[in-house]
Amino acid sequence: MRNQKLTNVIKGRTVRSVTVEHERLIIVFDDHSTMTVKTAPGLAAAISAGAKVKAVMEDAAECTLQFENGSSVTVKLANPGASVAVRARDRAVEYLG
Amino acid sequence: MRTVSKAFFALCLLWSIGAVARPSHLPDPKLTPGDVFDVTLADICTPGYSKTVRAVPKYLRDQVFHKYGIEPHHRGHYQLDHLIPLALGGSNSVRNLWPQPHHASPWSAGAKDRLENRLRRLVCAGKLDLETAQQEIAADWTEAYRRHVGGPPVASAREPPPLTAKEHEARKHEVWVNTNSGKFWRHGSRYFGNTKHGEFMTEAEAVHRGYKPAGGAGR
Repeated sequence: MRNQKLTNVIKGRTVRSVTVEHERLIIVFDDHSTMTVKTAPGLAAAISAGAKVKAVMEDAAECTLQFENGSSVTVKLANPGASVAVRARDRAVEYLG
Repeated sequence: MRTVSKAFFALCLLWSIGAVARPSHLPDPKLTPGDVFDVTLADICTPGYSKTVRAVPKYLRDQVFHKYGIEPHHRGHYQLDHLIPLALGGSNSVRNLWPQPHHASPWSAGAKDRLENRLRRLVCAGKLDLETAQQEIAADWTEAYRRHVGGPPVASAREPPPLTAKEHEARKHEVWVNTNSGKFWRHGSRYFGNTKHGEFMTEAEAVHRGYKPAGGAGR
């Protein structure tokens, strides 16, 4: 099921860099906003820099980022409803969920 | 350990061994201990913050009702409540959600809303530590109500006591601020005094605190 609220926030943003540390996936977009995802253990996310976000799907603790180049990546959320944070360049909250 | 925590843990123990029936106006502490986002005071005190973070997917809603053993045809008697309110940094996790009965007078959903508004005001004014507010409302919101609002509530808290003529006149010169959306309404609007989260204040104070008139005119 599409997470419309999150999709509206990050759709069209291009991935600038991706890091994984301590079961946290940290995506920095080209507008310097940051998306942090707390994931279940064993994450191996393959997201390429330059990919542009098309939509975000979420279902039963799995979050899938779909990109305009046709690729996608699915991560298992550590605590659904409290695992995803998007903050703008100035650190203002854009989305939490 | 503070007294309130001791009392809470003692109650949890009694509930867990079935010695005392859990009152319907309190969540099951094992199912709903409370959960928070990684947020700062500045985040939660920004007008419109709660609206930004209000998102409970259907699968999480279903999960909460299922955990509490509430059948789909009985769900209309409940509303899904954030134990630690979003306005105080509470999260949308199932650990922070519980089915709050609509009719649990005097400890109704309206009474809890009043407490939430009071706590948020105290926290954002720097009169109460955010973590303390979160812990108090998660431990036993009725105790927090007694401490910060006074109580217990005497009647159905969804139905505030009627205003006196003098109070009514005074209210006309105030605006109603929806503290979740950050918008305010003037007297005459159907939303004036009628949103779930909000408070009356003078327009000057509302503007000073960064709230905006709804629809540009507050009507």
